[in-house]
Formats: sequence, structure tokens, C-alpha cells
Amino acid sequence: MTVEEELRRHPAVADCAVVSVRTGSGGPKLIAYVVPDGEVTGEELRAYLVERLPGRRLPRFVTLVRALPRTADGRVDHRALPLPVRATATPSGGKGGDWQPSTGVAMAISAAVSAVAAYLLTDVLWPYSTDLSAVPPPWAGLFAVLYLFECAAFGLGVAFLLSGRTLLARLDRPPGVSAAAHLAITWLLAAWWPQDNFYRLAAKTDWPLQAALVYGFNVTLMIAAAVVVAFVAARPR
Amino acid sequence: MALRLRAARAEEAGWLSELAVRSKAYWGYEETFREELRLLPEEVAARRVTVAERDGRVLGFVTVDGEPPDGVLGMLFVKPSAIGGGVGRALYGHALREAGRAGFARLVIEADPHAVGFYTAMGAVECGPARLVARLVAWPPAPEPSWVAAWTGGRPAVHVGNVAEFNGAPPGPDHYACMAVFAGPLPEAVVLPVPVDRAWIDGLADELGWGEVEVHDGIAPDGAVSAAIGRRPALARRLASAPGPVLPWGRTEQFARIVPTPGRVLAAIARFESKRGAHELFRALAPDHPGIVVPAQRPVGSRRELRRELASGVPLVLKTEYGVGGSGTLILDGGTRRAGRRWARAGVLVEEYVPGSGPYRDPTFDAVVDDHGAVHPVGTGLMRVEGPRYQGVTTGPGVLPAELATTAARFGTAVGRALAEHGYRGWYDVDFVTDPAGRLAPTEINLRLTGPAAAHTLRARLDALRGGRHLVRALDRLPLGARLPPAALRGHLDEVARECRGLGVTFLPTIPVAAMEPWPYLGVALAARTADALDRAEAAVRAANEALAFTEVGRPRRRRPRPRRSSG
Repeated sequence: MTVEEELRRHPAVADCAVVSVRTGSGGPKLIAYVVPDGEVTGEELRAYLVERLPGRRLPRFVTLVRALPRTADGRVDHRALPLPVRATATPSGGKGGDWQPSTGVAMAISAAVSAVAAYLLTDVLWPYSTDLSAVPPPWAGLFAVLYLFECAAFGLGVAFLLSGRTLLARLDRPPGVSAAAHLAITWLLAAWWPQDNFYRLAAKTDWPLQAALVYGFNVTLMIAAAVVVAFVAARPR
Repeated sequence: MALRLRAARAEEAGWLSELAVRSKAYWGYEETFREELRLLPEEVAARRVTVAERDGRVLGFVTVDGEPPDGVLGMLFVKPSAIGGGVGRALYGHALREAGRAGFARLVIEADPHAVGFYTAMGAVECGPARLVARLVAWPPAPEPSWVAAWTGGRPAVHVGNVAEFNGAPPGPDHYACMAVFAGPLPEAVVLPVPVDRAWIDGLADELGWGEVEVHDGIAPDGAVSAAIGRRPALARRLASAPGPVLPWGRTEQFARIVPTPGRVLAAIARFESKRGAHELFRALAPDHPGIVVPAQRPVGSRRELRRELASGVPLVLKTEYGVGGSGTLILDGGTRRAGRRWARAGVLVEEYVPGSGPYRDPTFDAVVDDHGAVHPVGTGLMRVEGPRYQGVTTGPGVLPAELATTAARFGTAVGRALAEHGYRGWYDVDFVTDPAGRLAPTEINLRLTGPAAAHTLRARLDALRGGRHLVRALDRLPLGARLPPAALRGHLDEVARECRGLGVTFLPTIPVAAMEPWPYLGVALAARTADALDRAEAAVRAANEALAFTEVGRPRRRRPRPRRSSG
């Protein structure tokens, strides 16, 4: 028996629709919209469904509505249905209005600033690491582009570290996994700039340094990629 | 010949008493009423008797008894031969207007049951079962307060929602700008950055007798309204050549390119919107104002200095120089001390915390400086503040105890005069906190419109339209239990409005554009004649909003959380 059929058997349900809805976070969720006939609460309907349906068939939410919005041809108009509140944070107020800096703008600014800082600092931290005077064209140009990419990736990494949390929170994964993914993505972006510079200056046979770099960067980057996989695989809450 | 209304003369008393008895007899009453209906010559002036005459013959009269603000429409009688000829209507209207001018907010009518139909048709409301006499209440129209003329010249105005622009907010949708629809009592056009549902404006126009309102909405998704107007030459011309006033939320340099603003006004805004500048002014004015206490304030020079302040353990308020609605204010008591460390940067002001609680903790005073620099008080209000954050306000008679209201108004008016001397013209408000001894500590000046300003303009509009003195409560952020697409929101608002009407309260949505936000909310204003009705309506609106919430049924299977050790 479907959720809808089960709901319709409830004496206080006049009409209902069970709809798969994208709420903006995570995958689509099954929501039961119920037009009540008489006194009934969402909590009562929840208990009613839990008693009758196996866990995997249960909708994620049930809610009471005055009427089901319909399109001209009589079908339930999905776009006109109420949606659940996305999170439980308390909104702030303000007598003359208030604002929150938009994440996109904040990210763009911090990425640009850190990328430029990285570019300017490269020669200070790793003198001669990006010295191309001995490299013939066109190879020198290609390497120069690589250095730009390293700095840009580093900048984006810093920006993601600063403002990426809200982006990840939208995907609704468990908090621990989200926090790990946040650090992992940051590292996947930011690591290239220091890593490449260290490697360029390290002698091939400086075994202690080579080992330190391999474990400090290569291995940690592989772990970071694995963390991202775990994040993607985790179920939205 | 036209009907003429004039004050009665003392010598007419006997004859008018006779008219009353005959009029009463028209309904078949015995003459036992004679004593009750006697008008004495010496009472004629005190009872504000007005007669209606045509061709020199008196056709009826009316009395207004009592002292403002509560009066009684004592007698209204029309000569039997003239009943049904509009004499009663003319006398009633005249009595109400005169009562309003004399300061009456409310008139009780003890009417003959036969006359109830007449009074309700005239707008009075029955407030008790009719047996021997029916009890009705009428609300005389309030005379237009002087600030309305100072603010709009009594004309319809163009309202511009440049809230984010004034606040210097980074680009983003500016939902709060919807409040600019209430920048004055009577808009002829509104310019809003966000797109709005016309049904919202139409509903307000119906309720508030606005007539047709021209809507220019959705012009600035980033909130930069003046720049957006600049890119639309037709709209810019419309504003620059508007016949009535153009009322922005606040005067800005960007807006001055659309409608010129004197440089001194902008300079005064910069100087006194600053919490430091306002504080200097408060200190200078306070000695002349008993009942006003100004908390000590000083700038913090360095991170180390702030750390020392925080370590002292005395409750403090940290303020940034500019901040809107509490966004730049942090109150530090024991628990939040660590948070203060983040504020350690140049330009932070440390202010002595004024302790206190109680129902009258956060008064506010609004006023208008007219073109000649004269100050016109708008009124006081009681704000609802949570932590440092403004949530809403209630304005109207009796909201603050008289003494507090008078102190706030006197000091607020003095602030206005000082602002005027510095060249400011326009709307401003002064916010206070009340200390345990009942003294008021001024905390900031806003040289622009605010949530309370909207409540005041609504109040003025409703008083003019329906008479009496309304109480208006503005609540800017009532959380919604669900995110509502436009049609669902309309349904919800209609339902809530109906429920409020049942409680004798007018429900006016003020911010209906944030219903699809991740944390959806609604701004509303409630108008009523008693504070009690407002409280009940607010509870009903909150309950209806919460009832939208979704009940979580099935959770994806997860490991059971391990029991946590409690830290207590």
C-alpha cells in the first residue's frame, strides 16, 4: 500500500499528496501534504504512519495544508507547495534592516587576496624556486603558467577554508563528515603551492627531505581525496 | 436653504428640551423621559450643544459631554418632522469632528434601541447588548498631527526603499526595504529593490485607503537602489519632478544624485549616526534634563586595552561607531566575555552597561525636523529588544508610563533642535534604555526611518481614516514554520488577517518577501484600539506561523548516538 493510500484511510484526512521534493539541501525528500478533515495534528499522523509502514517507505515529513494547489489540468502543482525550513538557526533582526555578506563575494575577495599574497611571497619563502632564467622558450612560459595556477589554487583553498563551511552545510551531511570534508577540500587546493616549491628546491637524493615531503604532501593529499569520497557517500541527514 | 450648524445659545435650553421630548415620543415613548431630557441653560456651553437649523428654524441638536479623551455623545435629537432628512447625519458628523478637535479619542453613545441602526451606519460600533439602551462607541477623527504636514506637506509621497544603500550593506537582496512602503502615511508610488507581489500592495491600499499606488519593484537585486534609479532615466525623471515629496529611507550621497540633498544634511547624518557623535551630543544636553543619565563611553585604542577592560569583570557594552538595529553592539556579561575578544580592533567604543529590566526597558522617541528647522514630535514607542537586537515596537497612547514618555519626548526634542542647528532636516529617532531607578539613558540617534517610524506612520494613517487613537505594533521578523511560495503565502496571510479581524485587530504584512528564504520569516504590523487586543493578535499570528511547520516522520537509519556524559 502506498503512503497516500494509507493516509487516505485515516478518518481525519480529506485529501493528501505525497510528493518527492527538492528542498535545496541534499537529495529529494518525500513529503506528505495532508488536507485535514477535522482535528488532527502532524504528530498524530506521524505516529499513524510509523505504526503502519516500514521505515524505508516512510516519508521524511508530513505537514498539514489548507488545500492542495492544483494546476489548470487538476494535477498537484509542485512548485506552489510549502517547503520545510532548511535549518534551525535563529534568524537575526535589525531595526533598520540587516545583512549578511554573501558567501560568493566574500570568497572571491579572499581568494584573490590570498592568491596575490602567495604570488608575492613565493620568492621570499623559496628563493629561486621559480627562477626560469635557465629554461629555454617555449618551456619557460608553460612553467610560468603552472606557478600562476599554484598561487590561484592556494588562494581558492584559503577562501574555501574561510567561507566554505556554509556551502558544505547546505549539503546536509553529518557535521563530523562535513568538517573533515571542509579541511580535505581546502588541503586539496592549497597544498600545491608549498608542495611544488619545496620539491623544486629539494635535491633528488636528499632522502630525509624527500620522505618528509612525500608523507607531508602526497600521502595527505590521497587521504584528503578519500575524505571527499566519504563525504559524497554519506547520506544527507 | 442649506442646513446650518451652530453653537446653541443658553436661552434655547428650554425649547431644545421640548424638542428632545417630542423626538423621543416619535418612537411611542411616554413622557416619563421628560426629566432626563431636560437641558438647563447653564449647561449649554459645558455640554458643547450644537444645533442644526434651516431657514432660521431649529431642526435638531447634539451634545458632547465629558472631558477629553473619553466623552459621551449625550443627546442627539431631531424634530420628528425632519427625521430622515439628513439632519441627524449632519449633527453626528459635526459632533465627531468637533470632539476630535477638542481632543476626544472616544465617544460613548447610549442610544435608544431604535437608533442603533443609524449609529452603526455612521460607523459606531455596538459594545453591549441592547436592552433599555444600547451602548455604542464612536471614534472621533484625530486632528492631523503637525509632523504629518512637516513630513509630507499632507500630500501623497513617493517612497524609496534604499535601506541597504543607507546601511552600506554589501550587495544582496534587501527584504527590509519593504518597510519603506510605510515611509509616510500616504504613498502615491513606491520604489523597491526586491520584487513584490502586487496583491500585497493592493491589500494594504484597500485597508489604508491609499487609492492607486504606482509600484516600481525589483529594480535592484543587489540593494543599490539609487544606482538602479540612475540607470532608468524615466524613473529618475519621475522622482526628480514628483509633485509631492520623495521620501527615501535615509538620505545618502547616491540618492542625492537623484533628488538633491543639502550637504549639511549628509554631514549631520555622518556625524550623529556615529555612536560617538551621538554620545557627545547626549552629554552636552543631559545636564538640563532631570531623568536622563548618560552612560560613560570611550574609544578603545588597542587590543591590549580592550583585553584589560574585559578582564575587569564589569558589565560593558561594545559598540562599533556605525551599526544598524543592534548589529554593531555587543553586551558583555559573564558568559559572552570571550566573544568580546573578536571585537578588539581600532574604533571600538566601550560603554558602561546600564542595568535594568522590566516592561519599559527600551523606549524610543521619533520626530521630524521640518524645512525651517522646527522639531515636530511624532511620538514615543516601546521597543522589543533581544540582546542588542531590535525585534519590534509598540506605539500609541499608554504604551509608556506618562512620566517616561514625557522625559523621552523632552530630551528627544532637545536632540532634534541640536540636529537642526547642525543642518539636519527630516526624520530622526532617539533610542533609550531605562535604568532600575526609572531614569532614561539615551543610546543612539538614527537620522533616517526605522521600524518604529513605520509604526508611527501607520498609526497616523489609521487615526485619520478611522478616528480615535490606535496602537500599532510592528514585528519585523516573525519566523514562519515553512517556506511558502507566493500562492501559499497569500493563503496564509488571508487566513491570519481573518483571524485578527475576529479579534478586532487590523493585520498588515510589512515584509512579505522573505517567505522562501532558508529561514523564512514575515514582517507584520498589527493595529488595534487596546493593548490587550494586540497581545492576543500577536499570539494568534505566531501560533499560525508555527502551525505551518513540518513534522519529521522518517529519519534515515543512523547509528544510535552514544550516551553522552553530562557535564553537570
